[in-house]
Formats: sequence, structure tokens, C-alpha cells
Amino acid sequence: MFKHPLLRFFSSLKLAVVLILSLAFVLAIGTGLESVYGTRAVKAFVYGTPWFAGLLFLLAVSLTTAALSRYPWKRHQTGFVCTHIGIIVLIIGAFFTSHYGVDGNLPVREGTYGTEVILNELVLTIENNERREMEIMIPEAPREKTGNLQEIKFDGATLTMDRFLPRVSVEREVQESPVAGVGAPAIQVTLANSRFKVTEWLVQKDASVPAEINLGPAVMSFEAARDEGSFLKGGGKRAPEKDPGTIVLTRNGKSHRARIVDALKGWMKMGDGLTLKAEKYFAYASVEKNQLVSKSDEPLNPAVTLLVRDASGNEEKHTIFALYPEFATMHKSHQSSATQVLGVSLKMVAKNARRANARGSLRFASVGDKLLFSTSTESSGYASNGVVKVGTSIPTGWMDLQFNVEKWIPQAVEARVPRYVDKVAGSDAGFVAAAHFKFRAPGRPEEEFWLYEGSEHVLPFTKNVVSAVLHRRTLGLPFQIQLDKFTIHHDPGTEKAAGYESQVTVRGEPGNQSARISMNEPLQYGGYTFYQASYQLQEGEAPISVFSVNFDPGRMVKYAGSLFLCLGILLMFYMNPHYWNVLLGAQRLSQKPFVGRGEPK
Amino acid sequence: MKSLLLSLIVFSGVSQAATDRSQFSWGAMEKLAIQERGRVKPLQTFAEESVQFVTGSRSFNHLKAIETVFSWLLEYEDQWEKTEFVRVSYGPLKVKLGLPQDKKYFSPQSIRSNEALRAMMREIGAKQQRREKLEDMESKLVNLQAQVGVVDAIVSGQALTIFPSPQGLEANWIGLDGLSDPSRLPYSGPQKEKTEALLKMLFKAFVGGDAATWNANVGQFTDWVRSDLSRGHYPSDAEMGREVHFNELRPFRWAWVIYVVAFIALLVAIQTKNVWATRIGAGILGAGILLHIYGFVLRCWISGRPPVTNMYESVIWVSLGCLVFSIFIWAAYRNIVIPTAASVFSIVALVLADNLPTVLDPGIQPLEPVLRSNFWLTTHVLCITLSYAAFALSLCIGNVVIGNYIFHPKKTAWIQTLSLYMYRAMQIGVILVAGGTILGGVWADYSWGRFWGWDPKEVWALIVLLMYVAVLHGRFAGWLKGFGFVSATIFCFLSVLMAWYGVNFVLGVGLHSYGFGSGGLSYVMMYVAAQVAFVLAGYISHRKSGVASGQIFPSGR
Repeated sequence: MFKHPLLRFFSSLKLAVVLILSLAFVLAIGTGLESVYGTRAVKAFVYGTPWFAGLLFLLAVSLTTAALSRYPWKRHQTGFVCTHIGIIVLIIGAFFTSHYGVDGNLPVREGTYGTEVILNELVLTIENNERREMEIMIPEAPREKTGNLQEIKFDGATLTMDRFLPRVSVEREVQESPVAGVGAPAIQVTLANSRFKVTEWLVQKDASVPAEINLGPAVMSFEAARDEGSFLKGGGKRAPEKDPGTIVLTRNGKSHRARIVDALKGWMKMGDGLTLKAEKYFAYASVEKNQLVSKSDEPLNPAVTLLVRDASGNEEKHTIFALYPEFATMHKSHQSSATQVLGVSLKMVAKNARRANARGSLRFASVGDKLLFSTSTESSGYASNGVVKVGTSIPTGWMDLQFNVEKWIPQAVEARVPRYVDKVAGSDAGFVAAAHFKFRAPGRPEEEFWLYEGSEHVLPFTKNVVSAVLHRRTLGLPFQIQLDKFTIHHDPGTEKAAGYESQVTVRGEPGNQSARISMNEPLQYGGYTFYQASYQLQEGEAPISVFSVNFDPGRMVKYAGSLFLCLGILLMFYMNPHYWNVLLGAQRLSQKPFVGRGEPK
Repeated sequence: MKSLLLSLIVFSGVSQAATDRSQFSWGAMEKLAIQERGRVKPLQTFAEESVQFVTGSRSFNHLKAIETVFSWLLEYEDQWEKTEFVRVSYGPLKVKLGLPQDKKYFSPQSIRSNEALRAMMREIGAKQQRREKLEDMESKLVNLQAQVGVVDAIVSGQALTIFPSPQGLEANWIGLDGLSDPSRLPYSGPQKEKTEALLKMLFKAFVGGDAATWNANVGQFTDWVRSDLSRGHYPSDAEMGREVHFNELRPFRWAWVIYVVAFIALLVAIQTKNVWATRIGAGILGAGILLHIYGFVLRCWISGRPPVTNMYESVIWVSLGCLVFSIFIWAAYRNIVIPTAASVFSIVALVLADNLPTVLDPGIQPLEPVLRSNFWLTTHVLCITLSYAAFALSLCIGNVVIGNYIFHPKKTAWIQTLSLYMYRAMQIGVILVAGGTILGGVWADYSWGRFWGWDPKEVWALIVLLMYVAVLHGRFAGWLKGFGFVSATIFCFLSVLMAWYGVNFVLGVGLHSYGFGSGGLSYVMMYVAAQVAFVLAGYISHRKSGVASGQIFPSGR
């Protein structure tokens, strides 16, 4: 036992209990914060802070003094000493990792190579094209921060960061141009029905090419037209097909046709001794209450029921669908036998038929001081056009969709604005940090601007080109990782990834090396380990594979610590002669509770 | 949406009143394979999961789930659209949607036409796009929408992906709706015709209640799909049969029933100190454990992997572990109170698993990429969850101790003996959680590239370890004696609950996201309140008795 009061304090069990409980408490709070504000916030707020490191350090001191205070150790204390050494070694290993290790991400697009590892620290780099580069650490915060957060002075100018948003999604905002004669025409259109609602901006940046957005059920476009006539001619305006179509009857390889409108009037001779009569026509056939009915006059699912009779008087009743020829159905003939006796096959051809979910197009054009619209669907000829009144809903003519031009700005500019997300759903991945700055330079008006992770802003200086960039710190690798091929396997019948892997070529000093990196099968090269972490897919672009890059000098230390720790606990609890007696059945403990051993006083 | 399949049987001329199908044989159809949610499984599993999800019960209206699914497919418009069968149990949601509070079930029509729901869904859609956190109400609404969606997908035939792909089990199978889109069905003309003819016959028989035709032809259809359509890419009959057997046996339900009987028998035995009652009780308990193990092995066999994916599997595993550890400690001390106490936890856990399918999803799902084929993964998860089992055992015994503090506060020796058992269970837990956390680090190092990443699940495993270690040190320091030690151990279990349930269901963040879910918080809070009250009652009784808190090791130092 130590004599010195300070050592006695540090080696005391009571301090240990207090430290353990406070660590548990801090960690519990940390996970709570993480669930609300995301992983980056809690790293900045708890795990990466000096006070947290201090708490771990105190714990290490307490463990060390506690182990030393019981020196010289007795045999039964082996477990206790071993455990404590294990934890101390673990903490030392963690220190090595956090101070000398590298933990970052390396996104590489297929067909290209990557060499810059993105680390976690957020920095502001001010680049001067001639002389120097300044890198300023931007401390992260779990939530929005305002006030005079950073003040950077250079070349007589002052850059002040007065707002920090840890998680934003960057959104496009279309505003009226502050300068006359600058900007492009823009409209904001809402497309909605009872189940679907979407609002989008169409900005016509280039007068010769219409701005176009693909929205699933519709394609919207906005163009500049010389006059009304040329705009309407450009649209696929067609007169809707009115004729319900024809019935094609085939027997013994020979086909006979009958127009439905004629067949509805009465029996028609079809050749081959057959006659045919259409009983009823359904434009939009649907089964309700076990009856075939027509839901509307829109030819969305045309069908016809008809009777076919041969020379000897055999009669069959059929129902045929224009869109679903394979569903041709034969019902009971008058002889009440459900078997085909006539051997005919029937088909319905309806040019006016269209499926209910056909896509439509919605076009807009500005002609002088008028805004025109034209809507049409692909398969039907339905179309309408007219002059748009801003703020009024107009039916498009398909899927019960209505459109509404909410805003029309003849001269608009686009701006990027941050939308702050305070609470996240599980993960903060995909959100970026944003900071707002004020810039003052002698002889220039004050300027304000936003910077987003990865974005750059050129500062107005006369002499030099100076730019400010907000980004995550990067680390250049002494070699390149080239992504040759990225493959994803899916779970049967789903879009869910079952596994993914990257075929890479490492291009470095000793020569090129091919390797495959997949989940649980990392690549080790040049002291670094590359893990398959995630991927990003975007339609029409080569996939990006994201590797987690790791350099950990504390790894072996931590493994050693772990080993000691586990061994220690095992020894402490179970290297007890009495315990073995119990297992060997020499003694029943319930009759005679044993004297605890291996417990420090 | 009305299914076009129906035109196959239009004008069958049979009345559509509820048809008696008690004579139908379902066996062959139940073993028909379906590819769904990334797995090929028997149609029976799909039917039970779907009907359970929509109606809250596997046998709605006492119909077999598979019959309900066929009825949705073939008789939806007439029999279901306006029928109240979609279960909504969340009260506030009913208020929000203006649905009557006293009703349990609602018709799809009334849900579809609910204006409040539509308006909210649009808002939720926008929120999901921005990846913002959904409110509790909103996720319940998404769930309700999904319930109707499941029915819709069955009615349209889209969900019934029973047509095997000739390219193999991994390729996309085709749903019944493929019949109306010939470009999607990869079968030759005659194959397609025969498929259609067989289905037509079966559907007609189903709608008409014609058991003779159904029973005579259902086997022909399933054999046809298996042997002719699949070109050999089809699960074996034995595999499908095994899963159907598992579904029908419901081993975990029977296990808890047996545990309840065993518990009662053992209580009687403990009260009467009758040797035979003890033996009978222990025998019943043993039978329950064997059934539990059988069900567990069967499930592993079906899913082809150890139970490491979701909450349901861990509940089954932990409740088994708790009993097995109780047998270990019983073997050392020969005190039947230990397994008796353990059975309480296993009963509660299995009853919850059996009755809260929305919270604890019993479905077998494919593994996340990061979890596949990895030795360390399996080892660390099983190790950590086993530590929960040991801690649960210490909790059970601890509560028996508290019970003794309340009812027999003067039986100091007995209380100390029981406390020792609790301590033993806790020791097992501590070593397992320490080892498991470190193994987790090894695994994370191996597959994620870092030993420790402050991920909430690993942090909470560490908190569990720290809490129990703090209690152990508190005892060495002389702060915790007798009652204090026991109650502290009991409260430590709350950290286990947080690590086990809370991280996935309350925090819902981190890399261990494959186990996420929601619901059940009210049950957990109720338990916590009851536990606090019980310990408080024990404390009051203990103080009144005036017996000083003794060491667990009475003759110890």
C-alpha cells in the first residue's frame, strides 16, 4: 500500500468505481446524442475531445497505481494484475491509434484511380495563387452555432465565420435576378393528384434547348418559342382515335376480320361458314360483382363479348381483350358444354386502346409576355393547350394529374442555399457541413457567402486570386489505387445488395499489383489496409466504390492488451482451487459457502 | 387494383357467398416455393407472414393463411375490399385518421379513401426523400400503408412470385401477374398454356368451393412448376417440407407452454419439498429445453446460418442460454430454485417473441453483406448474446433474493446462498461480455478496418461491462453489501436491456443497423417501473427487519 496520499487516492477502489461509472455515464450520453445528431457530431462532442482522452488517462493512472499498490503480488493476484495490465495496454494502444493512425475514406470511380484519402477533420483552406496556403481547423459542433466563430486575417483583409451548420442538404433555389438583363426564364410547376405531388423548377438556361425534367409519370419541359404556332406544332397533337377497332377470327390458319361497330349491329358472315355477332363493347372493362362492366368510356381496357356460330348451329360465347389477348375466354356454349367445338381463335385489335399508366408530356413555352402550355399522352391522342395563369390548377388529362405553375420568373438566377437538418434519421451520411462567412477587404464592399463541404469561393481581391475552400482534410498516398471493375451481387429477386467487390490495380513503387477487395477481404499494401466500405451508384455514370483506408500502429498493442485482459478475467474468476473442487464434485457449495479467494481486500 | 387474373375465371357462374373449403387439401400448395424478400421459401411461410402482417393474426377468421391469400387473390373485390380486416392497433393513429377508436380492423377501402392519410403520406414522402427522422406516428402510418400495399400486391398477383426463373434461384422469379405480360414469362408456348390451364382449373375450383377438383389437381400443378417450369432450379421438396414442418410445429410456442407447466410443478416442489415433484418438474423443464433446442436447430438448418441477424432470433437464443446456464449452476450447487428462476425469464422472453410479431419479426431474412460467412462475426455475436443470457439469469436469481428480502428478511443464510448463485451467473456474464466485446473488436478490425469505432452497439456492450465491473469493485470497496449488491446487480441489467434492445429500437443508429426495429418501448418501461418498485419494496422490508447486510460469502473476509 502506498504511503503518499496522492498515490493512495489514485489507487483507491472508490476512485476506480467513480471513474468507471462516469465513463459509463458519458458513453451512454454519447450514444444518445449520436442517435439524434449523427456520428460526426458525437465524435466532435464526446469521443474526440481532450476531456474524454483525459478521462481515459485518469482511468489508466488509476489502474496502474491500483496494480502497483498491491506489489509484491501474491499468486492469487495473478488474474487481477493481468486484467489491469490488459486494460492499460489497451488504452495505450488506443492512444497510438488515435495519434499516429490514419482512418479515412477513399472513393474511386470505376475506370479511374484515387490517391487522396479523405480524413475526418474539417478544414478551411485559403489559397493564394502566389505565395502561400493557409489551413484552418474548423471545430465541428453537434448543432448549429452562431456568433464570431473564427476570424482569419490575411493581406489586410478579414474573413469571419459567423455561422456553422453541421448538417445541411444543399438545395437549389431560383430567385429573381438582382441585376436587370441577367438571368434565364424560370417556372416553378407543381404536378399533383390524390397520391402524388411534386414541385419542380424548370430553368431555361439555353434558349435553343428546352429545359426538361423527367418525373416518372410525366416529362415536363420549358422552352422559348418564337410564336404560338411553332410551339403547338412542336407538340405531338393528334386527334384521338375514336374507332373501337376490329375483331380477327382465325380458323384453320385463315383469318377473317370484322369491324366491331358493324358486328354490334347484328350477325356477320365471316367466311368458312361462320357467323359472328358482337354482344357488347366495353371501353374500360373491369370485373365488378362478377360481372364485366365498363368503368368509363376511356378506352383503357377495351373488350368485347361476342357470339360465334357455325353452319350446323353450334354457338360459342367469347370475351376478348384488346390489351390482353392471352385472356381470351370461352364461356358456356348454348349446348352447355364448355369445350371449344368450333376451333376458332379470336383477337381484338383496337388502335385507340391505351394503358392507364401511359406517360404524358407537359410542355411550357414563353412567348412574349405569355406563358403557354401543351399536354399530351404518348399512347392516346388526348391533348390540350392554352395560356397559363400563374397559380391556377389545370388538368393534364392523364392520371387525374393537375399542374399548377406557381411562379414564373422571366429573369431568374439560381443560388445554392443550405437547408439545415437538426435531427437525423439514423445516419448523418449524405449531409455536409456548411459555414457562413463575411469578408472585408480594404476598399471593397463587405461580402457574405456560404461555403459547403467541398465547395470553393473566390474572394474579391485586386492583386491576387485568393480562394477559400471548405473541405475534409486529405492525405496523399504514395501510390495509386485504380478501380478496374466494381461488382454487386443481389439477394434473389431483390435490389438489396448481398455483397460487393472491387477489382483494383495498385500502382506504386515496386510495380503494379492486381487485387480484389471485397467485404471482409481487405487489401494490405504499403502499411495501409483497404476495406470495401460502401458504394455509390448513379444512373448513367460509372459506379464509385468507397474504400475505408486504415493505418493502425496500435493494432498489435491493442491485441496484446485484449489477450491480457481476457486471460486475466479467466484467471481471476476461475483459477480458484475451490472452484475446481466444486466441478469435480468434491464439495457441494450450498451446504458450505466457500471462502472467497482472489479478492483484494 | 382489380386483378386481370380474374378474367380467367370470369362468369364461372358460381355464387360468391363465403365458400366452405374445409375439404380442401393445402399440403402441396403450402410447399410450393415462392421467392420473396431475397429468399426462396414455401408459399405457406409467405402466406402466414403476409396475413399476420395485415391482420395481426396468422389465422384470420380461423382460415388457414394460405386460404386467405388465395381468397384475396381471387375474390378480393367481392369479399375483401369493403371488409374490415386490416389491423390498426395504434390508438393515436386512429385519432389522427379519424377512425373509430373501438374498432380493431378497417377495410382497405376506408383506408384508401382516407384524406388525412393521403395528405400525411405526401408529407412523409418528402421527409423520407430528405432522410429526416420520422415521428412515431409517421412510421406507424408508413406501416399501415404497407399493410394495404401487401394486400394490393397479392391481389394483383405481383407478390406471388411462384414462377421459377430458368436462370436459377438467384435470378428474379416471376409473379402471377406475369401471365398477363407474356414478355416476362420465360416459358415456351405449350408450357405457358398448360400453366394457364392448370391455374384456371384450380382457381375455378377454389372460387366454386370444388374440393374434389382442387384436391385432384393441386399436386399436378405444383409438380408441373417444380419439374417442368424450373429446369432444375428449384428447392427440394424436403427443404420446403422442413420449413412447413417448422411453421406448423411452432416449437417456441410449445416451449414456453411447457416451461409454464414446469415452472408451476417446480414451485409446488419447492413449497412442499417433495422429491418426486422436483423430479417431475425438472423432467418437464428438460423436455421444454429439448424442444427449444430442436426448434432452434431446425431454424438454423432452414436459414443456413447461426441466429445472428435480428431481435427475434436473439430473444430465442438468449432465453435458451439463460436456462442452459441455470442448469450449469444447478449442476454445481444442486439447488432447483436456480432453473426455476431462470424459467421465468425464458417464459417472458418466448411469450413476447411469440406474440409481438410487429416488434420481433420472426421472419427469416437474408443476411446483410457485412455479416456473411465470417467466423469472428458469429463468435462475437453469440458470445455477447450469451452474456445477456447469463446476466438475465443473475437478474432472475437476484429477484428471488429480493423476494426473500420482502417475505423472509430474517433468513439471512438462505439469502446469502441465493446471492452467491446470482454472483456466479454474473461472473459468467462478465467474462462473456468482456470476451465478446473484444472479439467484436477483432471482427470490426477484420472487416471494417478498425478495432474500435465508437459504434453505439459496441459502446453499449462496453457500458454493460463497465456497469457490472463497477458493481464488482463497489463490493470490493465495501460500498455494496448484501442487499445493495443484489439490487445493484439487478439494476445493471437495465444496461443490458439498453445494449440489447435499446440500441436497435430506441437509438436506431450505427453500423449494426441490420437489427433495427421499432416498438415495444412501453413494455420495457413497464418492466423497468415494476422492477424499481419491487426492489424498493425489498429495501423497505429489509430496513424494517433490522438485519444488517451481510457478505455473500458469510464466512469470508
